[in-house]
Amino acid sequence: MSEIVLTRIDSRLIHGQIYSHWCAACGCDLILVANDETAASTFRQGLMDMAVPSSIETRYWSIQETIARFEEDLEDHKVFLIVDKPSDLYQLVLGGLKIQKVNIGNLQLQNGRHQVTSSVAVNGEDIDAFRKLKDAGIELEIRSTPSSEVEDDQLLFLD
Amino acid sequence: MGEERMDIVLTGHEHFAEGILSSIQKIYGNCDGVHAIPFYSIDSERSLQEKILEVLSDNDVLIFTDIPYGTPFRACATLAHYSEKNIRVLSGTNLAMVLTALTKKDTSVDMDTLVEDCLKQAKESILAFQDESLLGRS
Repeated sequence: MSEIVLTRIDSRLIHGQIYSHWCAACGCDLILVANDETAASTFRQGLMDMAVPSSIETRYWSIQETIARFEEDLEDHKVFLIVDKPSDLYQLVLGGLKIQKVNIGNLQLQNGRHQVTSSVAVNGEDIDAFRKLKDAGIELEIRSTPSSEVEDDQLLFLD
Repeated sequence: MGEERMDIVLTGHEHFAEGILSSIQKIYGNCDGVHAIPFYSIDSERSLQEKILEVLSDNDVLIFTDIPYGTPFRACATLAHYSEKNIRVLSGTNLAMVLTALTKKDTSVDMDTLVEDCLKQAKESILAFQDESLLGRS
């Protein structure tokens, strides 16, 4: 039975900062990127794999694949789950993944988003998803690196 | 014509690119054809790619990025992968690396050799000062 040791929302998914800081902080042995676009692009997967130390495994699954395979196909791993937007995470929660807390690291200023912190921007769809996650009892933590300050989650709901 | 010219792009997190550019302007002088494009934490890969595409001419392109596999690197690698232009992406940029490119970019050196030279000079410029060796002691 796998355990999710860290869940993070980051538009950049796996990138330099992720492996160096967060993997050490959470003690994961596998990074699961749940993202439809990345699951469909071996080029993007290759670029992300280059940023991960060889001791840590990676999986690149679509949202539906993650829901279908999480229980069966990830045996005894400590999983670092990464998605690139809150609505994808809410899909995973609806699909049965057990998540108590989500770290919100970076939402890039695109897709009609407006900026609410130095590294987080949200649009209506994001705000709606954050509200649903919070209503489902999931703690929302805005923090870009393990050593940075936690910011007030109310900022996520500014429209 | 006859001269091989190229565009040089510097990019990295926050003010890295402007910092490198201001240093090389001081050390080297004229930096025409060198573009400093910052990547801020709110930027996306797409927005960085758009900022870079805006400054490019029809020349070949040499892009210097800050850290391997960081987002600026990835955005540029993706740009190079899908572009029909000859775009090379380097990472771990230091001043020696950029100065090498600047001094050689308008000569007839081909892109492969230039990239090799940049990496060689970059690595050789990384060292620790040792007092003993300076004073001739072993």
